Amino acid sequence: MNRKNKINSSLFFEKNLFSFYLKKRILSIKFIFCILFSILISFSQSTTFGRTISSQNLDEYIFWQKFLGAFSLAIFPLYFPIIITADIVSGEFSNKSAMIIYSMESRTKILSIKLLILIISIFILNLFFFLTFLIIAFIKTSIFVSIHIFLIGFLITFIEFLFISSLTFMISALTRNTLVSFILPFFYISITSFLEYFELELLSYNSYKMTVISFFENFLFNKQIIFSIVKNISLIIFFGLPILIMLITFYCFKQLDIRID
Amino acid sequence: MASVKEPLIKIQSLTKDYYNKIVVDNINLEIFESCFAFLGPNGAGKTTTILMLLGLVKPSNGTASIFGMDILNRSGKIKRKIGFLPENVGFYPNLTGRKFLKLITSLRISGGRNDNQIESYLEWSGIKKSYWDKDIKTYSRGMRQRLGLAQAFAGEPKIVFLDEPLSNIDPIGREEFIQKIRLKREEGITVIISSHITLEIEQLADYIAFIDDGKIKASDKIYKLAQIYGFDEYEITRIKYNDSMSLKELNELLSTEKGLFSDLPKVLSEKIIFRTDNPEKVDKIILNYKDFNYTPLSGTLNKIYKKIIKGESYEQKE
Repeated sequence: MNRKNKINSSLFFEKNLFSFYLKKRILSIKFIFCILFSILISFSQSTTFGRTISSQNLDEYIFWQKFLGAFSLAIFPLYFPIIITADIVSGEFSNKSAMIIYSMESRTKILSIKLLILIISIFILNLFFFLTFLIIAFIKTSIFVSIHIFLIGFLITFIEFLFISSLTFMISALTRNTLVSFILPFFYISITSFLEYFELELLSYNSYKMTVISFFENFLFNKQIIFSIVKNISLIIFFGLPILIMLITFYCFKQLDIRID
Repeated sequence: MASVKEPLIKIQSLTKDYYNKIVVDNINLEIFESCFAFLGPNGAGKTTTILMLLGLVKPSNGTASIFGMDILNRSGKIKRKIGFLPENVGFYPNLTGRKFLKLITSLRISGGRNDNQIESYLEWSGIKKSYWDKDIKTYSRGMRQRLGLAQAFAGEPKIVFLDEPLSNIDPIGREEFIQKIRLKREEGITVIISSHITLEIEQLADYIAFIDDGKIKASDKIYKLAQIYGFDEYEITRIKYNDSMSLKELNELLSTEKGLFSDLPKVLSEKIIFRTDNPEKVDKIILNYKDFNYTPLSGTLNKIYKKIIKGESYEQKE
């Protein structure tokens, strides 16, 4: 009786769709490719450690400045979320399976499931990226990075990945074109340094991230919490923008007509 | 087909425009448990109407309800009772036919991953067994269309929407599917078809709505439309051999009704052709005999179509 109620509930059908999409994404060649490359990048960054190692300079000098600093300056890892996300919604429109799937489930549910899978994928990608560093750091120094420092570094990178993913997700859902979903975020990341060069930092997510990094750096290593209008706005935009993009995507996608002619 | 009192689908002033061009114009319809067809030329608004009923396209104006629930506020429970075959059917190319049907049934019914059930759908589709476990990307267009039909009927839906269902299927396959869809209809599934091919609609539909320029030009039972547009020749065709009654016996039964036939009916090996001014009465009698299909004379629908859509007068031509 209990089992019958369980399978009759709406959650049962959503679970099926969730497991289908999850398998499809996690076992895809592009996801495995991204994982392998993120490990390689992490590995290459980790091999440039200094000689005199203590727990203090592993945290601050190696992890925070070298590893996270190099990551903050590198554009290449930011392409991974685009590769993972670009076809998440548009893929079903190019293979024309969208008509059948969207006639059976509500758009909000399908998008929510896809979003959840996206967050899981990005989390796994980030985890591999950071775990590689952690393992190599341990092999070379026999000490671990402090957990709170590690977690904050992980969070900042995760949120940045999530921003790029949400941007790609929005373009994928609203244009329903995989090529456009690749090109536009790719273009945005590529012009970020130009935006900063021409003093258009307000349009650059990276500049907000750098402010957030310096805020946490002060907090972690100097034990100072310095709030200012710029820092507050940067914190709000850094953490809030991915959520805002997702909300806009959900709202706009609900208004769209789903048809393939 | 037996009809229930409450309509399964109720359409009220449904309108859709794209960039100020009206594609569906103030449609009002009630669809009961039956096989209902939207018939009209390309671009008439058939697909848009179906997509609005499925909640995939938002109406610009008006409303519609399925099972008494508004199309825009339908719950997942109602959505799962509806099957759909789009005109441009597409699948996940790296899934096998079996896995795709497994996915669809698991989304429509609880415990829908029963392998025997999946195999019965695949068998029903007529796809060769050797292809069941091959990736869909290796399927021909006809095979994809067959898989599309199978998924529309998989998982016990109550209403199935078919948009140009037999377009990519060879003539023999078409005959076979017309028979299969008829059987599904007899099982109590309401089938809603959109097509511009009169011959397949003639053999399938109980009710027809002629649609052109987004407007419903005429809508009624197929034999009533024939009567309204001045055609009085009908045929009863044997489609199954379950009952013991022969065509000859059926003809005798109908002949007992006084004044039912306008002249002497022709009894052929598989059909009876006759003229009548009271097609409704014939329908009532034939309703009890599931082995027979009652339609206007083959080709009549095409003439009605031309009269309604093209405005041609057949009396003058013939």
